[in-house]
This record gives sequence, C-alpha cells and structure tokens, in this order.
Amino acid sequence: MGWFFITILLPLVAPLLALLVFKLFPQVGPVPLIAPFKDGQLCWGALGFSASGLYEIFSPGGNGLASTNASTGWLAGMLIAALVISAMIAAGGSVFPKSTTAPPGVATAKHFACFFVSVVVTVSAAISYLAVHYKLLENHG
Amino acid sequence: MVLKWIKEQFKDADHANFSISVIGGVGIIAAFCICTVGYLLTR
Repeated sequence: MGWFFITILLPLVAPLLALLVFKLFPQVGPVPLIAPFKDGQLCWGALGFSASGLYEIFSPGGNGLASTNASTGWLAGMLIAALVISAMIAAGGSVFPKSTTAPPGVATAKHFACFFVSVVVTVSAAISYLAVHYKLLENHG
Repeated sequence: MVLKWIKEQFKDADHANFSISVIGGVGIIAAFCICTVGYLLTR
C-alpha cells in the first residue's frame, strides 16, 4: 500500500498540495484548484508510470514478467500506447492552454476535455503499472 | 486529404486542444480494448 501512495498517488496530488500551501500566503488574484490540471498536466505523471512499467517488464532479473508470461507483450503494448498518448496530450495542452473558466455558451465538458481525457489516460497507465508491479496478470498466463 | 483534415484541426488553439483530447481519448480506449482482447486470446 505504501508503494501505491508514494509512486502513484503522491506525484498526482503533489501539485494540488503545493497549491493549497500557496493559498496560505497573500494572493494577487484568485487561484483556482483546476489550474494545475486543466491542460492535461496529469499526463506527465502518466508518462512516468508508463516508462516505469516498461522498465519493470523488460529489466532482466528484476520484477519483470518478460520471461514468465507469453502475453506480457500486450501489457507492454498498453503501456506504450499510454506513453504515446500521454505525451501527445501533455504537449498539446501546453501549447494550446485553456482558460480556467469555460466561456459563455461552451459546455464545461468540452472546455475541459483535455483534463477529463488526461484523467482517463492517467488511470489507465496507473492500472497497467499496478498490473506489472504486483504481477496481477502473471498467474493467468 | 489527411493533411487538409489535420490543418483544419489546428485552425485555432481551442479547436486544436479539443481535437487532441478527442484523439487521445479515442486512442486510449481503442488501445485498452485491443490489448485486453489480445491478452485474453494469448494467455
């Protein structure tokens, strides 16, 4: 459980915790809590999960599954897809940032689509990394 | 044809952000489905 908190949860919520600390000090303007996540920044964490998962799969003599499970390639494929898509969303969000509030006439879901997709991608990458680290699929191979 | 479509997606920042999000969302769901089916067939 400690591994989950330190490796998965902490990198995702750390920007939010930092923002809450910033709120203790005098502000020059409003600090919306969505600001650290609205442009797909969660995907930077997903990039780390994907890279770490791939390392665990393919590192010889480690916790990897490569030598024990013939279908590990599909798990690696999922991690590679998560890595590529995370990079695309993180880069796209950085280059084309959104405002912290949706303009009139634009649905919140559409305005913050980058955020919602980044949540889905990050959860997918985290689940794949958990499956690799805890060998969740190994006994069924 | 494809290049024209890509150029159309990048006509402004808001549209580009939304298009990248949609492509990423569809991509991750497709990857999950393909990899799950592949895993189940090869385990």
